[in-house]
Amino acid sequence: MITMTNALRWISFVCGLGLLLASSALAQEQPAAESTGPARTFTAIEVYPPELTLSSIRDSRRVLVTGVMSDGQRIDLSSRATVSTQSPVCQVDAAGFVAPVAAGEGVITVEAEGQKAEVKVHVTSADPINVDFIREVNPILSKVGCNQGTCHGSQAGKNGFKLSLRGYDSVYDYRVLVDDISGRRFNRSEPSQSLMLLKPTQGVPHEGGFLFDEESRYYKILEQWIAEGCQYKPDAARVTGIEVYPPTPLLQLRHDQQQLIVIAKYADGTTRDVTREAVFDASNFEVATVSKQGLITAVQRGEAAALVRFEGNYAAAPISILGNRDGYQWAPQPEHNYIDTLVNGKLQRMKILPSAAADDAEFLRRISLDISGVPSTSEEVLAFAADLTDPVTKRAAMVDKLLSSPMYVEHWTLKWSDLLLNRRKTVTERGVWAFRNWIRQSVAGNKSFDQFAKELITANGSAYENPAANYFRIAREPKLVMENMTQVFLGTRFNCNQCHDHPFERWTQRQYYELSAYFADVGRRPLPEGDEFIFTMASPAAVVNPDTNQPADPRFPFTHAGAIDVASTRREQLAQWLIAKENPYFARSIVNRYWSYFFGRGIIDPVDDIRAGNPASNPELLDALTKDFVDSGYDLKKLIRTICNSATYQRSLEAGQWNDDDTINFSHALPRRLSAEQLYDAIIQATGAPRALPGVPAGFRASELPDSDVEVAFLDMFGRAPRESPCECERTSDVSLGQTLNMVNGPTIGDAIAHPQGVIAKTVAAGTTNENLIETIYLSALCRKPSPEESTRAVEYFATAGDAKAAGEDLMWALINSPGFLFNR
Amino acid sequence: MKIRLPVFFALSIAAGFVLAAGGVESAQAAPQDAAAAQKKISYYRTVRPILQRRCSGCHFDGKREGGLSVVAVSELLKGGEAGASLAVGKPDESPLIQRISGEKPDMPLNSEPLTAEQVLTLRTWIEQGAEDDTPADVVQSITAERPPVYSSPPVVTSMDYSPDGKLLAVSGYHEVLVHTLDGSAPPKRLVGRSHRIESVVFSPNGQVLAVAGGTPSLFGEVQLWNVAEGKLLHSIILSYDTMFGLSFNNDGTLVAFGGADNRVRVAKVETGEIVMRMDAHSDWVHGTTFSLKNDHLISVSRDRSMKLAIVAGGQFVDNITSITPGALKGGLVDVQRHPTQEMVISVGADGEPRMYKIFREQARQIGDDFNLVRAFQKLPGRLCDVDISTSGSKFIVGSSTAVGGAARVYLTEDPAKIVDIPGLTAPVFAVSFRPDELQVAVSGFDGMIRLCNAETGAVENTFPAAPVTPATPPAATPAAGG
Repeated sequence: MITMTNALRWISFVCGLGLLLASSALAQEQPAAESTGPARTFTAIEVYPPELTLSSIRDSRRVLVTGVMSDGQRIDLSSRATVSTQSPVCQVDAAGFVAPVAAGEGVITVEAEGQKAEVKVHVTSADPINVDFIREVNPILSKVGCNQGTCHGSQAGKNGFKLSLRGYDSVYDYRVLVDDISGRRFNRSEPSQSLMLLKPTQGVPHEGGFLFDEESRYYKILEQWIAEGCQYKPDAARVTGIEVYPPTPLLQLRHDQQQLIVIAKYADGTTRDVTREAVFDASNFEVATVSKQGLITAVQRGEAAALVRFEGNYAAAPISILGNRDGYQWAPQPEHNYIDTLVNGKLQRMKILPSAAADDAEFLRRISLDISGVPSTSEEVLAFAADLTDPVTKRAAMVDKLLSSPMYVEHWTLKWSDLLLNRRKTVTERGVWAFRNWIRQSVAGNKSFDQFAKELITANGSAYENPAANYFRIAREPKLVMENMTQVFLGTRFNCNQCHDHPFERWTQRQYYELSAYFADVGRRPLPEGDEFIFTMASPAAVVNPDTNQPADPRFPFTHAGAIDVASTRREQLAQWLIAKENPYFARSIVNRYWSYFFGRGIIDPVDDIRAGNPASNPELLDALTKDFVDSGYDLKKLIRTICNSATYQRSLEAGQWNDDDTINFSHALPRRLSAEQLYDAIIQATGAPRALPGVPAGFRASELPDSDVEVAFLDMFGRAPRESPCECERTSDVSLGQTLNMVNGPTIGDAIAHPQGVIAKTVAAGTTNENLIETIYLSALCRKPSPEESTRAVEYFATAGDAKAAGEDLMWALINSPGFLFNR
Repeated sequence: MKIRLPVFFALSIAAGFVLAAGGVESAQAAPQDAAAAQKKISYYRTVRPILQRRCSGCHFDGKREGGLSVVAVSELLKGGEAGASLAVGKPDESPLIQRISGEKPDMPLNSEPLTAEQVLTLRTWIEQGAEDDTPADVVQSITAERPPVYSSPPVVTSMDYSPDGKLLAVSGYHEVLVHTLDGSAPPKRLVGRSHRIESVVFSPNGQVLAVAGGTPSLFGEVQLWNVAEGKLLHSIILSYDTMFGLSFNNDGTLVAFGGADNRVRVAKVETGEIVMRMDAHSDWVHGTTFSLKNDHLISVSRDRSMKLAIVAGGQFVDNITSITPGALKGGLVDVQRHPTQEMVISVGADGEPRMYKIFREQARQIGDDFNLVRAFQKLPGRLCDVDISTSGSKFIVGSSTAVGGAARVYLTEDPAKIVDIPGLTAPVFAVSFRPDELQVAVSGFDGMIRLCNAETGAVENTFPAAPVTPATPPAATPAAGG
């Protein structure tokens, strides 16, 4: 019998209720504000680019100025530098941009912090040219925000004036400005009286406010475009990509700044400095801010990204702010494989010192949960501790052992059943078991991942006989199949561009329908007993793009060098394109996803939202893992083995002075709440109560349930995946009051602890000392022996409590409610 | 391509240094001159631009948050729901100052506070007496004596032949030009207050020219001119944005028009008095036309609907079309009644001219299109204007794809027969049928007027909508005050 009084005493003893304290356990301490450090002296300045080439009258560019200090540290001085010129071929404007005046050779002088440098300028042409709508006007509308989603870019526009969202449709935008209401918005006779200039300057009332004045460059370009007759060149070269300099800004202290330069590349081979037209954003403004002009300011130590957008192209520059690291010193670290080399490289750059290796018990519980889904048993803990082989060999052997265990199969079958949305609601109960079996066999046989994906995408036949064909019963529309496929196998979110171009990536609405068209050849014919026959239709159904009202032709959103047999069916072509080793997303996204299962965080995170604006925290590491995975023939077990054998994976949860603020560089383990199924199975394992889940044979674990339509309230409360969307976010690991109350008071726990066939009842019945009982409970619940102090305090408690069984139940209850149980750490 | 005349808003450029207010790319703010506080602060040059930029987005005639408009000194003195905004001579007691001052000012709502310099400027102006120094001639900087000078033809939004076919009224910038087509006289310039002209229509007897337009975001206007004398009979100032789509009743006593305030109005030609209002539209009203018996009015709107109302009293009767099937953004743009039948032809963004019965003969059902008589062949792009010939046997339609345009003559009774106007390269915004049905006028984006044979489409004459003076050298500075 558990009494609340006794229980409360235990709460203080075992670090309190895990779930109640989980938030504080996970919270990161805010580093104190950084000092600005000593005065800096510079020995030289460097200018980027080393030479400037200006190729047309409005091709003006700015330079970055970097100060080099005597200790080699480099600081951006761009905003403090003076740029001047005596050359007749160019001039320097108020914003520090170098603009052409006449064709020829010239030089500019850069001065900062008493240092001086000269940069050659080649002006290849300074002939007057007309303002181009696509190249010059539309980017300004984006930059000042006219076409943003909250203003004229919204679904209905504002006040009768609607632009395409972020300017993705330049013809539409031109049309709105030029022929809407017979040319209301421009005034060729008197450009300054154009509504499109009076509004942003607030010359007439404008709800969107004042955006620029009559002296600004934006105004002058728009005014010139109107004066030149509002021309439109549909064949104007489009932007093919943008590059940001510096690509990986590194800042030292709080308040340090770094100017960015954005260069757009055009299809005609020209480049243009679009720093003034690009739209900047910061991924985490608590670490760094990025101004509208592209100036980064360090806020505190950490990592963030400068997100840059220009004309439907996206780039991210990962920003590192080091902060004051006086006293930091790197110490050599064990390196088991290339993962450690690459992780440690990043740690050294960020001046982080990783944690020491986890002890055997910590490692064993973690690896058991990660590979087989359940904590290690008491016997395994004792056996592993007794094994005196060197730790690296011994741990590698354990990884191998777990990978060949039946529990590995169950655990990863559950993961893939989630991702593939296997549930009876869509495929019938028989279908669920059949599809689950197919997944199970794929996992058990370690089917290569490319083959796995190919079999799904090209599946045909009876859904009961070839269960992979259930893929097309779960999603029945080409668009839905495509959305599921891209999120699971490419780690990207194509669902965003169904109604308009993707707001944070280059994906367009047209591509959404073109890619969906690959699934337009899926035919479905009913069979008896709820089965369905999936086949490839000779004439695919039309996937109509509502924007053009035209059926979309199948076309890939990006091409790569991989071979595609154009004579094969649509789905076969898609599979060839998808699994080709040249596809930059396929292997990369699964490697990243698997990594996150072992570290609680992807190298790119979230793992199913890969895009330019969501950069990898360690791109070299992700590249190496991807290459290794492809070279191995898409061997998932080998991937897991490589990850788990790394010293990086085997690090302790305990962080120190030099890594306690790190959450993204894998310098220590991160606590992860057990998933709903893990938690349920762990409680059963810890208490020794029998497994009795509804709707499945006795002895089934929660992780073996075929789908979430087997009702278990406990599992729903702890956030098992309902399998409605292939997003990893579907499975929740957040902490709620309901969960806490359930853990403290709920029948699942209470009944299991007090079960007459449970560990405590059996051990007490067999006759044992309190010390032994306490050790058994610690081993069962936390997969380790108690520390001497824990042991002493527990013995004292048992002595006062009198009844060993009741005291043992109190102890078990308290341990199950502690972070050491609730979290994989 | 400048008009070499002082310009309404050019003055605000001169006052630019006080305006640097949290913009994306504002001009460099000049250092605060300590003496500036003692100088006389000009409302027009200094105060008005601040209010315009920071406050007028919510407090103008069209929106009047809290009942307040800040676009004129008289409005500030009148104030809003909470009373006058100004206490002349007493900045601390002026609600205007109270709302924008302090640690966390109430205003501007959800936006950066005004800068200290801006607040000081407003305070000083109130302290000095809150005088309104708006120059009297600013609004009328372009007058009949000083008509606009064009370096390229203005975009033409509307045209109409006089009933005798001798004159062609054409919209310009700030004016209407009445061309004498036999070339015996230079165009008559009817210069009014509105910057933008949206619609020009002769009265049935040709004595009165009605003009609808306004200055976007400021006011709407309907002008009624005595054509022979070039004299403005009435200027009806309405609302805060332009008016559109004029039409006369048969005897020329009433003129109807739509507005950017979603309202349909009818005015008495003799007095300029508004005698009817109809508010059933949910978006800008672009076109109107009277029924054959003149007792009903038909209106079309950007809300994609065509509505029927009773002229006497303005009561809404029916949707002739609820939402035009397939209509794109932009909705319906123009409507005109058949001269001898209770039918109309409407044009809009879907590119397809359609003929409708005005009065319903079957009970209405949601989404029906019972009144449709026939649809005509589509033109590329959006249709901008329609004009039916005197007998009703033909009509002409103009269209725009933004990068090009088209104009086409249709036979009302035979949708298969069409005559396309050749050689058009720019959007067509305005078309008109000559009363003798032999000629059509076509113009638009390029400001060139083409007079074409209505039978063959052949272009018979081309001339600019307004006299063009060659451009000034590019070095010329923008007009700025004076």
